[in-house]
This record gives sequence, structure tokens and C-alpha cells, in this order.
Amino acid sequence: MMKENNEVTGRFLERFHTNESELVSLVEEILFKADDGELYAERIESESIVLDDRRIEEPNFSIFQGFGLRRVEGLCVGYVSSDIFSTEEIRQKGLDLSGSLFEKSHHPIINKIQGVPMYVQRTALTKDLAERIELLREIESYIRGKDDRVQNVSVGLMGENKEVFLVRPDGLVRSEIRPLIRMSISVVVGDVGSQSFGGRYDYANLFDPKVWKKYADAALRTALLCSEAKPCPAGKMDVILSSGWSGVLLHEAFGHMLEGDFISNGSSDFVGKKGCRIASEGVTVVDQGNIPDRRGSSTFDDEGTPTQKTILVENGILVRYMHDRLSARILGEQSTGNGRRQDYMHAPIPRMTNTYMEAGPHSPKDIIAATENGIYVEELGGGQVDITTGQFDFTVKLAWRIKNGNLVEPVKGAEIIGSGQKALLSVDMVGNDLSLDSGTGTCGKSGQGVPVGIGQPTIRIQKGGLTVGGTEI
Amino acid sequence: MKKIAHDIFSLVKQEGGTAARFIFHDTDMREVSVRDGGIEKKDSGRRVSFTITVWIGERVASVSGNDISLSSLHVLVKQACDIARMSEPDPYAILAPRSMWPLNCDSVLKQLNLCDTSFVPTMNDLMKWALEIDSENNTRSGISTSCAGVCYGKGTSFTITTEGFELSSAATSFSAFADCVAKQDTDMSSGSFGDSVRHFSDLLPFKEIGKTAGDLSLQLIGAKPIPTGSMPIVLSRMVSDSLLGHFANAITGENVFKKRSFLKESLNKRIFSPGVAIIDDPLIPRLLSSFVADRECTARQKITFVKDGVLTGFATNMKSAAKLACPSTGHADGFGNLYMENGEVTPEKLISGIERGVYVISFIGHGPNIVTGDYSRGVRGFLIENGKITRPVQGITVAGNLSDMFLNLSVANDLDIGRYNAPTLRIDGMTIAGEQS
Repeated sequence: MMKENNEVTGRFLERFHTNESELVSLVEEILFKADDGELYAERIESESIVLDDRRIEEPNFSIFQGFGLRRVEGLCVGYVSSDIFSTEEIRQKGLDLSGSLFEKSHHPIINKIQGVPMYVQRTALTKDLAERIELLREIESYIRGKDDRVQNVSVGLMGENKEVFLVRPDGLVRSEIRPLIRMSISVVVGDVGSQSFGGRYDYANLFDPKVWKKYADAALRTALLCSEAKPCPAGKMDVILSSGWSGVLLHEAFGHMLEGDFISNGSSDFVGKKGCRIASEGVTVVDQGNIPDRRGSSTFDDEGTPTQKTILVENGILVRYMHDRLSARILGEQSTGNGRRQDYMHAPIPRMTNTYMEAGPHSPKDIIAATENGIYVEELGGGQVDITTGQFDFTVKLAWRIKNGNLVEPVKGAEIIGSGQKALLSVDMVGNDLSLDSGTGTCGKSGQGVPVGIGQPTIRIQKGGLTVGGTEI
Repeated sequence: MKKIAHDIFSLVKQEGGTAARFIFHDTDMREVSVRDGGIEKKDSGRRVSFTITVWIGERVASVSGNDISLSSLHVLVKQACDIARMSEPDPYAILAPRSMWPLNCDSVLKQLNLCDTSFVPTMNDLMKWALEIDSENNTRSGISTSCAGVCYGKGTSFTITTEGFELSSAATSFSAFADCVAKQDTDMSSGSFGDSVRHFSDLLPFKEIGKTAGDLSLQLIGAKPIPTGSMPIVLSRMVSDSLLGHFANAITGENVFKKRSFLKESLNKRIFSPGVAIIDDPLIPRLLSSFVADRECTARQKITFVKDGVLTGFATNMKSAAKLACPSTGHADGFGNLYMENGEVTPEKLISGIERGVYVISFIGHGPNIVTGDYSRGVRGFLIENGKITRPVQGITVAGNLSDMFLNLSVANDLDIGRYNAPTLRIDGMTIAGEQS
């Protein structure tokens, strides 16, 4: 198991033309008397192709590499980055960082636990271009063959291999490969239906017709339903959110407000609310960075802390925040392995990994049957939150009007808005069908995008918890 | 850099390529942010990236990276040629012919004046400025936390093709922002404001940036929903250009020919109220979105897209132009300075005729469906009653369809190109969803 990691470490040491002990003492010198910091290096190989309007568009391949040095003093973070791999460059950037003279110091080794490596001997990029083009063609003709109202089909496939390498002044050296692939299918009829899926494995999984047909069928179904859907009613009503991707609401409306930096700098509405009820009884929310194959997963976070399962909300009570090393230190808590960064040009900040709500007792059928008047949201789009007020806003891609416990007709063109706390306090039924999303989410914060996973069972938010922003009054 | 380009082009030729383009960007950036009067983050770095596009006949592929050592370039060029060979012919993936190139890049660039050569700010300058912005808020009564930041970037770009096109340019940018949270009892509200320019002397005063963010957060304290209903909305200049963004998206050639736009059938039809004019001018000196040519070597030019409410053209690159049977308008890299011409009335006059409505200062959420024009967004702002702004509002959505919204638009006269590319706008007949009516 360790062999692969040593290989990655070896490749980075070779790129820097140095050895481990020399590099560790260089980092130790640069971060002398700092409260925290590290050297982080990465190399990303990625490739993508798109088939659109019956044509394969310019295939692309790229290699980007570089390193970042971070020095934390008190509450202040200094960060420099470079794309030149040499110890001279590290030394030079280190000077830019502190401007002070170096003395030798000895940092105690804080944490040598490695965590179990998640991605061993794997590369995502296992199919050549001809094979990938053939697959995209097959998917396109499958969809066009299913319905002659289809006006356009677009299929994209991207794969990425990210090697990361981390050296801390306490002598901790970590490295791993993080594979990531994603396919997206979009179908235009009158409106658009889109699906995307993937995870941290190689292409083989997506080449399975059972897998891609499921998503191709779903994209076409959404496009057809949306093309004839009625305008959504506006106002307050019961809202049922389907399992899986709808967890994006939990992520935006709730998750961000539990991130340590927003807690330590006082921006979040959840400051000082540990031990308080912030959601209904029966609502348990978890962030878990070590689920195999998931977009938000890694062996360790981008500061070298092993990822873990963190219970944030237990039966409605706020029990823990998500921390990186900085917010943990400020608040006198432990890092939860949530220090993540977009790439070597950015310093890590507290970020979610895979965030989901645990299952409850109700079957999804019973939840719908118990609803007199409302909407069942089958597909949520993206959303956004103002973490200070907890106000959020989500696009409803496709929903169904519910009357007397039955799904009556498809509706679309709505936003749902509300406040995170009020919505989660209004959850009155939690389904027994927890599922995680298909592997497509990227979360943006402070100009940094990172891949994340989300999930939830079917849940009902009772009238008053949310506002539906349709056009039909 | 020219030497590197020629090395690349001869490698391409060795590997069987018939044409190639090399684009190189090199940016130095530094940034300082402060929170509650103390330094929070100092960040600096050099960002290099290049893209090599290779043609083998009508087959095309591209590679990108940031390592310009010869060995790395060799690997990438070989990869580009390999994947181009395996790809399928694409007769539409072409660069502009010589007749469409800008006549004199250097003199146009000189006029555009995109680079502030007067001085290079140090980290200490940035720190001082950020603290000055924050000083407006960090001791202000009612504000519980504040932050501010200043960022400086200087970049050079270089584009060269085997056909002989060559363009090298430099540009600077200064941006400054402030974010505040106001608190009163259990009520909290946030306010942000910022400015971004190419020349330091064009930047708004630091104190003004700080004060505006602080004012907004304080004014929004106690914001509440209003009852569901149909009423006019007024988009302040801080958000009115979002409608231009949706318009730009809907007239982008690629979305039109791929049937992904609600305006795909609207050429030469009235889509806005009479009098409305929308123009893209990429040749205005000193502005962030100004430039001489797009990546396909097409000269950029001033183009009127809406005249007296009528859509007069789509924005195209070489491929979408061929698909739509018109010449490329030079939009391979998106729009330049897309703006809406002034109307005749003042913003005050626009509001004064409204009995009950909403004045919008910020949006939340992802925006409309460009394929159908369906529009529904969460907003924050103020209630308008009898022509006057009365109290702060949040927790409501405004909804409609962009086709109707464009036709029901009234335009004020407070355009400020580069900072606010659309004047204050009034839209009638929007559905507001909030409290039970």
C-alpha cells in the first residue's frame, strides 16, 4: 500500500532535484517561528472531449504543475506560488514570504498518522481518444434514436490525474494520486435535460452501457417533461425534495454556515450555537471525506490531515463545525480534515467534502401520499447562500404539483428560497432512501472551486419552511 | 518567446502538423486582505499558461500547460498531433483569414492603453490601501465584522500562428473590495462593494468603497419579506447589467445554432421596448474588457446588437458564423464592453411613478434558463411605496420570462460604461413570491 505513495513522493523529489531530508530542512528553515504552514506541490494531467451538434470538438490535453508555500503567523496567512520546480525557487519564494533571516529550529512532529491510501496504483486516463470518441458517438445515436423530437445532443467526457505532495516543517511528508472522471449528457428538445456523473476511478465504469444508458434516459426524460411542464405555482406550500442531488440545498443553506472560517470570523449565523437545536428532531447531517470513489474524497486533505467522518448535526442539535488547521487553532478545536484548495496557487480554507443527511423512517411513497398540497422537486438546479443571513436560493429544474397525495402534473421555472435554519427546522418527514449524488458537484468559495459530493434521503419541508418563487399566483 | 514559438512550430511540422497556433499568458499578481483592522492574508504568485493548437488538415486538437522547457513542449506537441490524428475532421474549426485581422495591432493597443506603467505597487502599498478601505468600517457602530482587500496584477500575452499572425500585449489591473456584516440584536445583514480597473488613477477612492459596503449592510438590517403579488421592480445599477449578461448569453452564436437560446428565432424582430439600444464596443481605452483581436485573429469592432428595440445580429466566432451564414463578429473570447444606451429619465423619476414595487440591490441564485427565458431569482433590496423607498426587503423572489421582461423595460439615464454597463432599469409586471397574501 505504501509503495505507490513513495513512488509519487519520489517523482516530486526528482522534479525538485532534491531528497526528502534536504527538502524537509528547507521547509523547516522557511517556516521558522511560523505558527503553521507547509509546502504543497501538485501536477495535474487532464484530458477532455465534447461531442456537440453531431461533431467532436477540439480534443484537449493538459499538464499543469507548481507549488505553493504557506506561512501562518497568528491570524495572518502569507502565500506564494510558482510553477518552477527547484529548491532554489522554493528558497527564493520563501524569502518573498517572510523577508526575515532564517535560523534552524525544531518543530515537534504533530501527526504522523497516514490514513489508509484511497487511490493506489490507479490512473484515470485509461482509454485512448479513439475509444472515447466511439463511446460518445454511441451515446449520441442512442439518444437521437429514442425520440425524433431531439434537436441537439451534447456529450462531454473529462478525466484528470492529480498528484499531490506535501511537506510540513515537522517532517511530515505526504503524497497521493487523486483520479477524477466525469461525463455530462445534455439533450435539447424544446427545453434542455442534463445529467452528469462520475467519481474518483478510471473510465471503465462509465463505459458500461448499463451506467450511461441510465443517465442518457434520464436526460431525455427531463428534456421532454420540461418542454411541456406548466409554470410553477408561487407562494408557501409543502415542498418534498427527492433523494440524492437535492442534498445541494443542505450543502448551500446549511453546510457553508458550519465552515470554521465563517465561524471564527463571526460571519455565520451559527456562531455560538453548539448544543442548540438548529434542525428538526430526526435530522442528522454528516461530512465525510473518506468515502471511496466519491468526488469529495481524498486520503488526506490539502494540509495533510487525514479525512474523516464528522457528525455536524445530530438529531437536530449542532455538535461540530468543519475545520482546517487555522480555524481549528483559533477556536481551540481539532482539524476535521476539511482544509482544501483548488490548486497550488491557492491557500487552503475550510471546505466541505461529501456532505449528506442520514436516512429516516419514511418511505418516499408515504411522504408524497401524506401531502395534501405542494410540490415534489424531482430535480434541483444549482443554488447559492448568503451565509450571514442564511438566505438561500435554488433553481427548480423539474417538479411535480401534488394534490391530495398524488403527483398531478410537471411544473418548472421556479426558484425556492428560504433561510437555512428555518428550512431545516421545518423538516417534518425524512425518507429511508438515502442516496449520494451521481458525482458532478463543484463548490465555489472565495474564488476557489473544489469537487464535492452531496446526498440526502427524500425529505419533506412543511409549509412555511420555504417560499416557492413561481409565476402563477 | 518568439524563439520558443518557432521551436514549437518546427516540432509541429516534424510530427506531421499542417498549421498551429501558440498562445502564452504570463501574469504576476499580488493581493492583500484585511479583517477587522488586521492583516488576514498576503498572497503573491506568477501564473504562466500556454495553449498550443495543432491542425492536421481539418483535424484539430489542443494542449495546454505551464512548463515551457523544451522537453515538456516536445511531449505536449507530440500529444497534440497524436490526438489530432485520432480525432475527426472539423471543417468549422478554423482561424480567421488575413483579411479579417486587425490592420495595426500595435497602434490599436497603444490607443487602448491597457497598461498602467506609472508605478508598481508593493505589498506594503496594498496593505496600506486595504487598511484604509477597512478603516471606514472596523470601528463603525452597528458593524460586527468587516474585511477588505486589494489586488494588483500585471500580465503579458502573446499569440502567434503559423499563418503569420502575431500579437503581443501587456495589461495591468487593480481591484479593491469591502465586505461587512451589520448586527442589531439578532438581525444580521451583509453588504459588499468593489471596483476593478486597469489604471490606478481610475479606481474609486478607498474610503468610498469601504463606506458604500458599510452603508449597504446597515441599510439592509431588519429586511423582511413582503406579501406575494404582481408589481414593478427597479434594478439598481449594481445589478441591472445582469440582464445584459443574460442577453449576451442568448445571442452568442453557439447557443443560437445549437438551439439553446430563447432568442434563436428573433433576428430582426422587436425584442426590447422601443428606443432601447445595446452596443458592444471592445475598443474603449482603459477598460477591462477592451481588446484588439480575439483568439481566432479576428479584429474586434464596435457592433450594435439592438437598435430601437430590434435585434440586429448575433455574436459569432468563426464556427458559429459559418453555421449561421454570416461573418465572424470577433466574439471567440466573449464580449467586449457590452452596454445599454441611456434612456431619458433620471433614476428618481423612474421610481417616483411606482405605487408599490421593489428596488433591487442584489440577486442570489443562478439566474434564468436561457433556453426558454424563464426567469426567477431571489432578491434583496427595498420596498417602494408611493414613489419612495421605504424599508429593506429580503426573502422574496422575482419571476417572469426574459422575453416579456425585455419588452417591458424602461431605462434611466445613469449609464457609466466600464463600471455600470446598464443604467437603472424598471420592469413592469413581475411576480413577487414572499409571504402569504
